[in-house]
Amino acid sequence: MGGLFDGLTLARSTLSAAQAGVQLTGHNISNANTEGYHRQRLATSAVAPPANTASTLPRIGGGVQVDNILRAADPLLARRVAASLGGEAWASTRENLMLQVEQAVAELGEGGAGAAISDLMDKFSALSTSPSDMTVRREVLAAARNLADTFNRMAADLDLVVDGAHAEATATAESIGAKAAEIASLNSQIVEAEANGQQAANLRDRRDLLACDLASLAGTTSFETSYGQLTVLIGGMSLVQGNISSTLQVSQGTDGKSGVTLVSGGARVDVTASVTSGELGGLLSVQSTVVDDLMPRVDQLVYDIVTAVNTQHQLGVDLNGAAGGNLFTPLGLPVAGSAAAMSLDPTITPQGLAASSPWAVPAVPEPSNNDNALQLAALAGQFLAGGGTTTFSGEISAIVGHVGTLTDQVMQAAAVRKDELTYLQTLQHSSDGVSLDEEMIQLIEFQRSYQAGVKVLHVIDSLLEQVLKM
Amino acid sequence: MLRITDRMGQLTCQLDLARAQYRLAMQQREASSGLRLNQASDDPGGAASLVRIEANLEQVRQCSDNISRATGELTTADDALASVTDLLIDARELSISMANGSYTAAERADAALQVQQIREQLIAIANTEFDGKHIFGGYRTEAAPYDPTGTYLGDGNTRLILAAPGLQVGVSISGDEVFNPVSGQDVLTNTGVLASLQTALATNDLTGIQNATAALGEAQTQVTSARARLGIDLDRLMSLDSMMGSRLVQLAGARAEVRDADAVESLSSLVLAQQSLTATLKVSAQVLSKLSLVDAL
Repeated sequence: MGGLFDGLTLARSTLSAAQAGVQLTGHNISNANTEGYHRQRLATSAVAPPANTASTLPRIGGGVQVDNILRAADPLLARRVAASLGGEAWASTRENLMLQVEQAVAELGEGGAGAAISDLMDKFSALSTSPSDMTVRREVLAAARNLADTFNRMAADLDLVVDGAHAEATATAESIGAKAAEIASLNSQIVEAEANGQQAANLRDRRDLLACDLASLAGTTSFETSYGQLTVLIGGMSLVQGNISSTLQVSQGTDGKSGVTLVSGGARVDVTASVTSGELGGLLSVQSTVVDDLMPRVDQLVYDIVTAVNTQHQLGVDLNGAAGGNLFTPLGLPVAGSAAAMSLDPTITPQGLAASSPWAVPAVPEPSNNDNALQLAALAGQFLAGGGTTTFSGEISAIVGHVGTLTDQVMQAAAVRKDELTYLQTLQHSSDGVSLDEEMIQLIEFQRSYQAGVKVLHVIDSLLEQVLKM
Repeated sequence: MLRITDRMGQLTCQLDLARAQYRLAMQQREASSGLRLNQASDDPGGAASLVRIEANLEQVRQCSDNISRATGELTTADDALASVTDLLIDARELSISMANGSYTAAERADAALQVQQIREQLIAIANTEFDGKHIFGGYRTEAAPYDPTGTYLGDGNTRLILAAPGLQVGVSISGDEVFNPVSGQDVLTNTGVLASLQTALATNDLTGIQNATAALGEAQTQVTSARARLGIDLDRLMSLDSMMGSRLVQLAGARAEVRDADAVESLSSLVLAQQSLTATLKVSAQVLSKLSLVDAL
């Protein structure tokens, strides 16, 4: 057996292990509320007895040693959380923007496009009742101008949403590049630290947090290689591999939609179509809804209204018997951009409104001839919109319903995704998080262990004293 | 057993509180605006029908407005034709009595002057204006449709208005249709029945007077039937007006159905949302200040 002095070494190992335990518990408690922190535990083991002793008595071990610091982590759960983060960010980004789109397109009541269309048609109806009344004629022009303004405003608001999404996508891409670079650098630090036998729990926490951020920003997926490096993929292409990271570039096309390019070294790959999750995916999806789905319908409706009204208006004659001109500035093809370009023809005047059919005798005025006003009012009931399937009011009502449905869907999706994410995060906290109760118990354990170690030291000390007194 | 950590409670509480707050805000918006449908996503199907209903509502309101504007004109025309009938009756009675052999040439010459006055009065009535328009001129309502010789300068058009969505109703009658229709009696011109009567009286032509009497009878029937046509239009407008009125009520009801919140329901939902928030707050407070060893040691 070892001497009494060996006992002192043993007691010292107890004290230092207990001290490390108290410190680590303190570290856990300090970080109980730190985002992405995984609770840490001491890994200790018993010190084996010295091998080269000549004694024949049973050999006693040399106390305790601290081997490592373990980090509670559940990689499988972490991946589910990352996927859920991407889905939640996609839905909430889309929700925010769709609410703006809804505000722009589907305004209900007085200020809406539906009200503006029916108002113009009703003013045509009023004009047919009082074809030579100047007040009514001015009201017709005011209603036409209001209709043009309403569609101009709608187009401008939608453009604002698309441009705003582009600006946001650009900022997001920058932050994605920075985070990817940090992960690449952490990859080498972690491998280096762990190769030297040091613990890298805090570096890993930081890297996991960044990976979660990336998942939320761009719906990336990631996995750890056997070397302990994290590979991050965006749409199947690698964003981070080992200590090399790529960047994302966002550029706006002529149609207003943003394109995303993955730039790694000299290689550039268009990944727009594969970014379908995360904040970036949400931004792209709203742009595509506005540019590919809503705007063409609104433009087509405006084009149909302008063409139908102008065509009918030109068939009539004005208060002076002159042939009717254009009520709205004529729109050319392509149809795209019609809503933004809609305007009252600059040459139209209240007198110039063609409420009459051509006079029987051009020299004899027919102020009560309301034929053309009746025809203009009748446009309201004709299937001139939606490719000849519905009326103007019917089409705007369909557009309002469509936008409402899209918004409603994404609001529900966002609520569901939020629930799912919270549930998974709760599970993750359950497995990785810090419980103060647990830490308190640990603290007491280490405290007692330290006190017991001191006791052992005390006993050995008194034994030594006895020996010295002899 | 699920391990419970301190942040788990916080996470769940945050979500639950946010949701309860959102529900309360939505209920408050509904209760204070009185509207169930504030934006399209509240009820996409309802929003689409709301747009259609409101378009329809405005259309019907405009038609009802059109009718009330046209009614005045139509009534004025009707009154004018009533006076025309009276004057024609006067002229006919005069011609019947003048056909009696006991009158002298001088008395018939006086009667001729009376007939001339009647004709002038009729021309004035045929030039009746309403709201600055000569109502018997067809589309040509600017200038008087009859010149002093009784020649018609207007046209044969009937003005139509939109009295119901997609339905046009005539609201005028042209002078020609009343005073000189195809294969009818010419009443006002220099060669018309009154002018002939005047000439016959002035020249003491008994046969001429008798012929004119018969023609005046026909003219009277002709005006009466024109007036009857106006009456039918007026009746039709009146019934369409009341139809538009009930359609308005119906559409307003449909709009309320889609758009408006039920006051009792929205208030009780509001109270419910408030209670639910209060409960969530209480539970959250308990969760967040949960019993912990930290306090016990």
